[in-house]
Amino acid sequence: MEIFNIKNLSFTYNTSDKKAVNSINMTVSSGDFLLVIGQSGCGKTTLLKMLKKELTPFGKKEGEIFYKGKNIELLNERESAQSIGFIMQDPDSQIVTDKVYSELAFGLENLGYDKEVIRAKVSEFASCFGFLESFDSSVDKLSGGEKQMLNLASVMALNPEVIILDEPTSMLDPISANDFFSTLKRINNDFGTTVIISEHHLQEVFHLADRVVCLENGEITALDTPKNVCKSLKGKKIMKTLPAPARVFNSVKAYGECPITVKEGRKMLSSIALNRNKISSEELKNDDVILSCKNIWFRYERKSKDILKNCSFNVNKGEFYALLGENGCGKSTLLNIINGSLKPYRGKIKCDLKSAYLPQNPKNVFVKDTLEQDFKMIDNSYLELSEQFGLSDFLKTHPYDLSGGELQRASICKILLSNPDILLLDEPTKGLDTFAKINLGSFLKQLCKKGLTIVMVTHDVEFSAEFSDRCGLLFDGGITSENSVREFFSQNIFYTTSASKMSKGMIENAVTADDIIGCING
Amino acid sequence: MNTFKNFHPITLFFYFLFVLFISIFSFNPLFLIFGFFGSISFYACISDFKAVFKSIIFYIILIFAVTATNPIFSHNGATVLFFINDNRITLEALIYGAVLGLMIAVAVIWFRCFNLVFDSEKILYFLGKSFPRLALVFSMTLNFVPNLLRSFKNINTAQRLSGKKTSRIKRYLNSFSAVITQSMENAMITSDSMKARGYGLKKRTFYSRFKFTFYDLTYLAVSIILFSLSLAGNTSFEFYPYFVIPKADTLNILSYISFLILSFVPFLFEVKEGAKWKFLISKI
Amino acid sequence: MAKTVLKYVITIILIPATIILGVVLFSDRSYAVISIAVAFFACIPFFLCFERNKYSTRRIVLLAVMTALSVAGRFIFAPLPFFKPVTAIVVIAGMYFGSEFGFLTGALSAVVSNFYFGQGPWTPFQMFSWGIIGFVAGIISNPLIKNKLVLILYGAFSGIAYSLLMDVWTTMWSDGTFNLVRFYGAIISALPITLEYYVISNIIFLLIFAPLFGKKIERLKLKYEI
Repeated sequence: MEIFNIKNLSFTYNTSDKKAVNSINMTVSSGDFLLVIGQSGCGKTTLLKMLKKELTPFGKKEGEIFYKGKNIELLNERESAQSIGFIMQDPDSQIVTDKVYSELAFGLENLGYDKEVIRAKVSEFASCFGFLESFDSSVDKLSGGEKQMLNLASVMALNPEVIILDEPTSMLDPISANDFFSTLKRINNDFGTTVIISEHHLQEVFHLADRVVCLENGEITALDTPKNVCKSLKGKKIMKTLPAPARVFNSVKAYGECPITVKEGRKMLSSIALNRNKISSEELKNDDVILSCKNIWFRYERKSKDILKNCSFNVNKGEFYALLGENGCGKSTLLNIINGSLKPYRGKIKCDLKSAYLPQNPKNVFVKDTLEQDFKMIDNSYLELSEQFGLSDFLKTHPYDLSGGELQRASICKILLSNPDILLLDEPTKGLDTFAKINLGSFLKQLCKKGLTIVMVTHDVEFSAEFSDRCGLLFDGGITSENSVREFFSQNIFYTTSASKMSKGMIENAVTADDIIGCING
Repeated sequence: MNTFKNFHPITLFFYFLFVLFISIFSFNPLFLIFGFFGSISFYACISDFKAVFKSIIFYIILIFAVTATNPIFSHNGATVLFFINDNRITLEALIYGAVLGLMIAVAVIWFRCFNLVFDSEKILYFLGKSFPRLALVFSMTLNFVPNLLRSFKNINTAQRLSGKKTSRIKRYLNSFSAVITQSMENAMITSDSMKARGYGLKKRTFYSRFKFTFYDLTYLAVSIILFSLSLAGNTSFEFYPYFVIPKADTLNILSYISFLILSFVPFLFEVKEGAKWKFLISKI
Repeated sequence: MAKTVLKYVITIILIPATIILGVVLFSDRSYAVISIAVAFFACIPFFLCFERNKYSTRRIVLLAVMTALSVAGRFIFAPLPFFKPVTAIVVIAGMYFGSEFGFLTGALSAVVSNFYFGQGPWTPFQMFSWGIIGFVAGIISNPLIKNKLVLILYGAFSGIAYSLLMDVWTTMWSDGTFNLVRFYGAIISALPITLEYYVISNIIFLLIFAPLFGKKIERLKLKYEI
């Protein structure tokens, strides 16, 4: 049975002449797991929001959407609210009430169920989604991942036919994101709920999908099973966002089905003749230490646990250093100790040069109405730097109106205005799509070449593998392994990139898809 | 362990209403002394000992302060003690002040207990009955406040480390205005999320987890009986012009005993439940 | 409809009834309690309106946000004593979103902030004081938005008004009756604080935040078409 039937759908926002969504035709069948991919601004969000009547943006709509054969505009409000669930990016702002149980009950109250029905459903969904412990606690005690899970649970409590998710994991760390995806797949399998999801980070979700639709400039460029979509996207720019095995497949001469998981990738790789089976690791000569942490011990309260225990590490001049680790391992704490916000109770930090700190949310750097005003706060000679950063056209723009990539660049530009020697970055790739990440990475590399030193705290192994010089893994309050990027990732088994996992034992020292492609093509 | 907190909000509300009503209106020193010990012993059960000790000192200072200042403002009363600038300072006004101070202290302690017992869920229960929409706004506000505080903290840190030194107050104002902008943008997301889950449809119900049990009814009934008995006697004190103590007849004594019990209900309940708990544990 | 009328009648009757009952029953300590009850009942018509009126979802969320901002402001500026943006934000809520919205922001701010700082018998009084400040701001919203001088004057006025209303409360609570001598005493002892902090901080906050909110609201109107 078909859930959605989209006929010749186009949409134009009031603020622009361009069609955000352009003559889209497709059907979604009941029980499908449909993944929507495409570059930022390709019309993913607009398309998804149009499937939910209440969220349809203002503008000119052409064509029609049918939900179970009924025109979506004629759908009664109650049915629309109940059977089409919608989840957005930001876990915090979607939550309405102050307690976990009341958030679970919110939708049911809206639909006018009585107390007893709500009581039964709320308890059922709380146990199904793991909220038994936190059932009556405040929402602000939950982590970002738990909050997004709560949003999912409270939508599921309405027992929807279809659930639409717009980049639900872009604000989550990889482990929470993985949890979220597996819960989503379980919902899809166990309840037969149709899932329509748009995502940037495809590694974890691509193989879960039954079908993938690729959008470009508001138009469908591919719509098929994941494997076939990978094949048909060969040579296109969007290729870069696909999982590493698929990228390798499309760049070398390989036949058969396109691999999308590491397992399939290894199988393919073992059947292909390699030109080289080793990548030499370059020596890091630089040992001009400009920042050193020695035996740092830190805890937040007198009686709490130690967050950092005897933690030591050095950063050299002009280096791009990535500090990796799980959630709550103390990465951000360490960064805050380096920038001077927190003081260790034992140990020494030696840093003679000026450092600047970029917080996780780049919005937090801006407090004024235009970029120009914000730049002026720091220094009046901002024109040259903002031109270098490609921000000249945006000087009169409100910072929050910039896209994710632009905002990240603008925030770096603002903190560089104070002429620091060391740049401290906290999760700079959070919420960015692959292209914005590539831009940011190459941009940061350029800055390093000019003599800036960068220390970055991140979860993003793929990004660090591609752009950083040296990596350290923080675990149990100390750096447990530290090495040049290639060595670091090729020695790790679990905490490494999928390209490295895929080529382990076959190609030495390969950490990115391009490394593997290089070895195959010679 | 079961505690007084776990009673149904209606039972709790009426209990506090009764004790506060008598504490404020009776203006009877004996009632107030019962109330003082009843409330402070319960307060000691539900909060930590240090806080109680500190607050006792505060109340004693408060009582003395009110006792000392009342005669300055009030010159009623027949027994003149002495004159200050031609103003009569009377014994009655002094006693009145002491009782007034005690009354304020008792009311404040009961309110502290009330604040500890009545968490947001119970307040929402009351609001939700007659003002469901307001109750929702209240709950949303409680959700937003910690979010705003967190984002202020983050923005403020980012500003402090942005490379330019500014005065703290200027930075606070800047950061707060950024909080305003962000919160208003996020409000749009929240309202989308509400609409997506059917907010605004007709006939919204209000869900609360409370169930009014027989147990709640019993305690409510006991409170009502004790309250009525406390009011039954003619226990009002007269201060001006002369200090008149009400007669100690049977009815009045019954009133005093009733209020004594009423004041100690929460404390006794906590003690009883604590003992029961220990007994059950010891049997395992 | 009949039900609403009934509700209003009840409210209108309730207030005088409380006063009469209070005076008759508790002749001596009447004022304090009557004032609490009256302040509380005075808020009820606004709450009833809010329940009945067609408020858009966005407006409801904005009401919660404005309230949360004023409460969070009380925490954020805690290091600076008496320098609190609550009154200013209530005024802003009234001037940009209308008098009913202003009243609700004020009343809710009192309830919610006392939820953190402790409820007391003063809660209804505070609800009413902030509520009425927001309400009046809504009535004179046009001059407030257009004329900076009016804004400054109203900022000063609302600071003094809030302080006076709370002095009335202090007097009645600590004396039982409205003792004029004590009232003057309270005013005079609070005068430096009133002038220095309430008035000045109000004016500062209003001058900084009122235009800011104006711009933000314009922005939202453009971006989201509220």
